[in-house]
Amino acid sequence: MKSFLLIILTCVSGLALAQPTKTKASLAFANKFWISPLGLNQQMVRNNEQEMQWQQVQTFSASYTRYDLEFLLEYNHDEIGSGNATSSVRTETTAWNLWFRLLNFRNKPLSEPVSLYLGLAAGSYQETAKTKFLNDVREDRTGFRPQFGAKVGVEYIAVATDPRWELQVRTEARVFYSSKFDPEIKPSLHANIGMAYNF
Amino acid sequence: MKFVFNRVVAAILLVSLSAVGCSNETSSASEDSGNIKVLAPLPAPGGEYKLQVFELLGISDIKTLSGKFVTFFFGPKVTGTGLTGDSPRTQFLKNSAGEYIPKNSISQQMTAIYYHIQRLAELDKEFGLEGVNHWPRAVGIAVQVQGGTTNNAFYDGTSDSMLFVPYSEKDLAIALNGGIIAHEHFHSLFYKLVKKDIDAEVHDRRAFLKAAGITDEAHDLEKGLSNFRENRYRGLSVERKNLLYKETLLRAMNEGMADFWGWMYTADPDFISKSLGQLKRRNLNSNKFVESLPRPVDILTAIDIQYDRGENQNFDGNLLALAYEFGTSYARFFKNFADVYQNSRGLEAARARKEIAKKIVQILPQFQKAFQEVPENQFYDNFNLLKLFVSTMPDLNMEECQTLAPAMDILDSSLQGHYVCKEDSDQTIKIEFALSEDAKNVEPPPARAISDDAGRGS
Repeated sequence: MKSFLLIILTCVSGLALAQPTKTKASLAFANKFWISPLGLNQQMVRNNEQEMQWQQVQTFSASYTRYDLEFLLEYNHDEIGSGNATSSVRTETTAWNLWFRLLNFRNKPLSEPVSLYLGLAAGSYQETAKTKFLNDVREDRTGFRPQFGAKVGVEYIAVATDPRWELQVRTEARVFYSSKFDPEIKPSLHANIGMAYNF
Repeated sequence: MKFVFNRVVAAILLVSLSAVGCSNETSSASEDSGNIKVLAPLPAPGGEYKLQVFELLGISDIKTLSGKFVTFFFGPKVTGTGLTGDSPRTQFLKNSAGEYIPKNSISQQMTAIYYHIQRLAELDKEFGLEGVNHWPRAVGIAVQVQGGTTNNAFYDGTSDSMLFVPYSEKDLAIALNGGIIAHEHFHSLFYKLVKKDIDAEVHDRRAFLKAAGITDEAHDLEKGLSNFRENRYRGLSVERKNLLYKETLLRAMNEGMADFWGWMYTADPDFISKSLGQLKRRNLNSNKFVESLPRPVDILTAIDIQYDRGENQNFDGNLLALAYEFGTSYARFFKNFADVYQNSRGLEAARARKEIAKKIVQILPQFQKAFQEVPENQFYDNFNLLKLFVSTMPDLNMEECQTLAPAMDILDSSLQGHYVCKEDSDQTIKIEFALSEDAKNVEPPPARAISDDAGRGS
């Protein structure tokens, strides 16, 4: 765990201290706020039958970008249930992630339509299990536990008439790590539609 | 400006990652092993199931819930030497009280199975059966079954494993049903104390696996049975009838005593129908004035009836059904006696159940010996089993005696008299055979004194 943290820390700090990969002289705006109320996220989890299956995750995210560096705060929520009418268990997971995103593959201004990006995340998640047996219902939850993520993605930007406003579509492949996950690396596919405001 | 911004980025990440890394939510492997508190539905004192937090002992790996008492296999293959296959992965969350809560139903079921087997191991020890079973027990879940059979559990003696097939009903899952788990556990005791050394077992296992539809890699069942079938079902010879009788009697005894074990463990006489509603007929509450054990004539007649229906009319399956039917007689007899034992001695119910259970396993080795000694042309008579049972109670009281004596009457086909209870001068109660007035005028029948050796046939 400590070595994993060290690797992430080194990578992220290195990225943060690095100079931007291109000149920003041509950019009209240096800052951007972005919000995405609609995220489609499918993560790979082990189901009750021990098979790996895709599971839907609800996502909400908002970010601040300066030049090619973005801080993104993301909220995820998913539910999965098993059992029958007599005994059932439903597990909900709520996660908050802080993503650091670098559009480091792009050598073009922000207004260009397609960009590639890389991201690293640190976050925490909380699980709640609702156990129902006949008329007896019980709810248990964990504290917030750490998780770490990495992603690679493609961003498409459509600029509105007013160049301060953008429509963004992002598609990403992600992996999250936690020693408590089963398996410990959890892959997911992610698609976001959001609005950005440049200033 | 840009340089300052990047410094800020680095500082924020450093702080956030360090904070997360230092979180005390991370737990070492040792915290997730040993004795852990878990949640699952368990039978409460009244027999009803409730969600309860309890302790699992000796857990070595919570991710597969393996430990001192159980090793789980998911969808295993049953071989002649054991189970092969992957371990199922459990999913738990740990709440603020340090309790492990199953996150899905398979983890909940594994938790319940582990707990019940752990408790049954304690009971084995209490009954002096500590060395009979080997630990950890092999348990297969989501067992592959030919024809997609669901809603059942089995014990297989050769692989020494307990097998659960998927449960698709809306009631209490079999893997959560402590009574059924205790029932299957008893089969493991019966196998080692009785069946393992009896020849009929070889055929019994094949028929069992075939009836259960379990894939058995070690044997090609059809091939293995073909020669056996030809010899076995070509007319009911004495040898053949004897073999069928032995199989049916052993199965009935095994199933009946296993049902008693389920009741002993849960205090619920209807524990089976909690998961299998269609099996209410196996309720252990007695519906007869006198409960007794099956007579040889009962079993032989039933075999004949099934044979007369035709061998191609699911003969094996019908014999298996017969065994369960006769088994209920054993279960009800011992349960009924345990009730009398409890009331007449003013004992706590749990203690009475355990004491009768202990007496049952106490007589099994003697039963096995007697069963094996029955000549090929004779049939083991449950009268002898009853005598063995009576012999475990030197301190019989009158109420108990008056429960056992009519049961002996039913098993005695001589019709020359009755078994009666007599109190000796030293106040000990004994069951004695008393000739009827009519019989006194004719030549006396061979006495079936209860002090005789148990190993007789009829």
